[in-house]
Amino acid sequence: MSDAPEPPPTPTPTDPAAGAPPSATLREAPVPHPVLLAVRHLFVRAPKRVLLDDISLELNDREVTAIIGPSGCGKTTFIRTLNRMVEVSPGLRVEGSVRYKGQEIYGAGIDPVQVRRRIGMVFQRPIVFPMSIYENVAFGLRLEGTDEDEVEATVERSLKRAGLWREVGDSLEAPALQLSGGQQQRLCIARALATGPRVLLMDEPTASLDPVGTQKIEDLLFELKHEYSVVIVTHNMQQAARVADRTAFFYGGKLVEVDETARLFETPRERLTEQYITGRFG
Amino acid sequence: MATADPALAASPPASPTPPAWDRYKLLTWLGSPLALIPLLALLAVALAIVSSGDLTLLLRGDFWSLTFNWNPLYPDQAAWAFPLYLLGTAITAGLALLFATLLSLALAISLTAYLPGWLGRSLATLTNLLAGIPSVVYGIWGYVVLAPYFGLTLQPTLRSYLAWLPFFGGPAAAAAPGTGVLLAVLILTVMIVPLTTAIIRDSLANVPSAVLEASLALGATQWETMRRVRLRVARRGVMGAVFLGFGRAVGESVAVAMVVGGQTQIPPSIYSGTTTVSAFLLYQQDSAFQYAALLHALVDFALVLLLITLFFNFLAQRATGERGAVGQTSAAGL
Amino acid sequence: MGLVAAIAIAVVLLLVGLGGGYALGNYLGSRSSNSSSTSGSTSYTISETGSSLIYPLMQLWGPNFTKLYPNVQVSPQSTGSGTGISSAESGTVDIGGTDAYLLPSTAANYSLINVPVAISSQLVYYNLPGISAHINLNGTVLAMIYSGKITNWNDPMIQAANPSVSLPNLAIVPIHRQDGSGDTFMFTSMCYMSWSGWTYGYGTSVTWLSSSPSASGNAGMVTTLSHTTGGIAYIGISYESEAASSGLTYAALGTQAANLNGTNPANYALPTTANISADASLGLANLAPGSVAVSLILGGVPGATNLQLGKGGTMPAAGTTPYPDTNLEYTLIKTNPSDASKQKWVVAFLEWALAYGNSATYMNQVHFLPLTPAVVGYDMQALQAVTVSA
Repeated sequence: MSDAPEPPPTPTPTDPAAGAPPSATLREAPVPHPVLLAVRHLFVRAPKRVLLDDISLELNDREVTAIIGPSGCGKTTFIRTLNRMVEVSPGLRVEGSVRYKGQEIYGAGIDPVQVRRRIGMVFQRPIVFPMSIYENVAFGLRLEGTDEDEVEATVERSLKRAGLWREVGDSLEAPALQLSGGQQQRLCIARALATGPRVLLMDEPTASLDPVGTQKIEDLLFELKHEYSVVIVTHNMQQAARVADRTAFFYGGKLVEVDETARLFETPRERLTEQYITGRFG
Repeated sequence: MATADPALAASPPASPTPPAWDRYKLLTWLGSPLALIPLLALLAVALAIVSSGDLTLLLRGDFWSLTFNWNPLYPDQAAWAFPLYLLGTAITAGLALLFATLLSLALAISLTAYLPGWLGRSLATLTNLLAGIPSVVYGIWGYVVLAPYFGLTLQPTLRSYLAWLPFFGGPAAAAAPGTGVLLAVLILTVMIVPLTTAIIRDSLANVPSAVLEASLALGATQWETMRRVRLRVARRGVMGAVFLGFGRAVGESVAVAMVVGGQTQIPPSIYSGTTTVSAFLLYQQDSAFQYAALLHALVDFALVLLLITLFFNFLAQRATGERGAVGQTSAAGL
Repeated sequence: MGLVAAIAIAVVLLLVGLGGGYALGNYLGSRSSNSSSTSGSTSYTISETGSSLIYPLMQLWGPNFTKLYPNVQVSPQSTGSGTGISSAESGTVDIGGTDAYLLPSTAANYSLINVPVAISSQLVYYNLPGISAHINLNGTVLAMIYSGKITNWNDPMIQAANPSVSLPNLAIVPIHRQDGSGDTFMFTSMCYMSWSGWTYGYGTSVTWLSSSPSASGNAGMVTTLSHTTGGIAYIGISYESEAASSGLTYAALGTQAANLNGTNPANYALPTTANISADASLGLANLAPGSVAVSLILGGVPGATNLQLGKGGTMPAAGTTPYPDTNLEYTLIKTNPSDASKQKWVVAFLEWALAYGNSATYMNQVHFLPLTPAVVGYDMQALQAVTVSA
């Protein structure tokens, strides 16, 4: 599992460069793939500057990967490229390749909507919708027209996975806005889990939470990595050290170093990484 | 990624700054009487109405009768048929509001989410310009241009195809001049749409983009996000627009009076004329100076109209006010 | 406010008393000697508000008066007769203009006098495709049409009065004024005096048939009628050219005799100058000094319908038939004004208007007729009762 920063390219079932059929859909591979997301030579350009500069990185299944780096280094932009949320921001251009289970998510005919159902996202601040707890979790399922029995089962399963069931199980019809900030964030996780993703992208999920709420989310990450690949952006190096199997350090839109978390923090190969983790800047 | 740490942002330098405080105090002293002006104006209007009207008339049957009777020779026998005027107001304003709401929802949604920025902005400017047109211009347009077309072409066509629908048939003679419910509703709709569109557009635009992204990240399409999240978060604003639009429609006098037909009756069809409380106020004002009984009725009409429009403006205030509160709660972590 | 006004009035009365009561009846006679001393000394603006019919006349008179007396401006407003009356009553304007006279008893309560300034008339138009003739209609028929008793143009009563016209089988759509109006006052007065079955009374606003369409202003009446096949509408004579260019035709209206014998064509009059004058002469013949409040409708007959043509009045001149839909236009002024020195100029203006402005040159421009000499005489007499300061 100790991969070098630049592993050999994974075999590709379909080659998008050769022109995928317009009706192409993301197929679930029959065997779990050790590398779930493979990023190759990724650039994101704003009109006047480069936000991400030639990023190549692989994200393994059933692992937590932390992205660290100073403000403005491109951490958030990076995880937003992984489920094509980057396209929501006007004026950004994406070049390069992101493959999910070997399939190009920026390929022709790939619907970003489908990508986002496989690759869920949780934001820095808990964003619950002004509806009941139940309807918040059911939101993604409603879009698919799932029948009510299955919705009910999935809501319960997702809330249990997000560690919220014991707290809200008997008040599912209550407005979600009444929950505490930490509960709201776990509700957002449950909502993301309900659509059945394999990857969970988390953009500083504890930045706005108190220590108790933060603790609960971190505990949850250990549970979630048994089933999901988790990518967490954090500005808190202790958090990365606690929860992440691997950690990637970004600086100035470039990937400086990626390694097993313990090795990165104890014996960084790059000077820049060492300076950052020892608190010389950031 | 810099998140403000509340502990750091908490205490600004506590040194007192006397000049600033003095200025603030001065502004308060100057400002508070100024702030009272709208309230005083409202009280003055209410007082004027109460003092020049005959409030007991509001309790009498002849105010609430269902037939209008005003014979200047026998003012004692007058009956004011206020419910008919109110009904005419409710029909024209209600239908106009229905159409205006649907139209401005469609407009506001495309302006905020679908049209490219420059087109959305120029259309928004255009709707704001439309909102500034004096209502008499709409009235003249309706009366001079549309009424003949309605009376001679549109209404006969509608009647010949849709007469089997309730309110789409009816006697031909009653609709001859083209003025009536249909035209009044159209004119009112055109008049309200800019107002409601502007408010709905603003409230849609004010939905935090983070909320929209949360929905998109769950695999919702643009339209699903609009329908299930954006409109829901902005629903107070939409309600505010509806109430404000209704207040405007109810209070609008000139344009409606010009095209509504003016008959004091329950309109038997959409082509026939009816009348509104505001039209009565507008057109009977001069006669009311000659006949005391007419003046009392007129003033009481005005009083009820004032209460109705105040009520709907109050609802609008409440709706938009609470929208702010919801925004804060949903943005608890923002 | 009241106290100030009371003091002002007291001061004025005192001054008037000291001045020994100046009668302005001879003002015009002495104006050449007076003008040198008064004109240019103090400036005055005479305010007038009220009837939209009188407004153009005031606009015509005002500048011509100012040419003679540059220190006096006349500022007229077109607001409506009701506003004219109430503003004159409250004293907020110097002159109130109205199409309907103020009852003498009411006028006395407010120290106002009725001063007629012109004769106006009203036409009844209809929209009957293919019929360009002036059909004969009398007050009874019109009252029955607006009461919903006659509903079709081929009704026997209409046909009997128009033997030479082939009237269509077409529903009549009676159109009324939605706004309060002196025209409504005139028209309902004629209906009221013509037919005992008329139940709506008369005034600037009355109840109408609920199915009757309405229009706002004379211009609105022209527009609505021109859109309404089978429609009928009453429109002030000043809108004659607008109505003609809209292709509308007006009716010959029946005298009081026509209400009794509708089939005699001799009882119908077109609104010619001679016929309108004939009606005015009839009505004004009943005038007595101090009683210039009179209706000229149907030659000024009282409410009863059995009076004969010309009874109590002057027989119309040969070749004329009195046109019944005729009316006096009134101004109202205070006899005890708060500003007596200004009131001197108000009276002077009206005296000038009656003496010089009452000519066909002015009146033709606004579709009015000049007052008869008798009315001018009564007006001059009435104006002498106004308190003014020298």
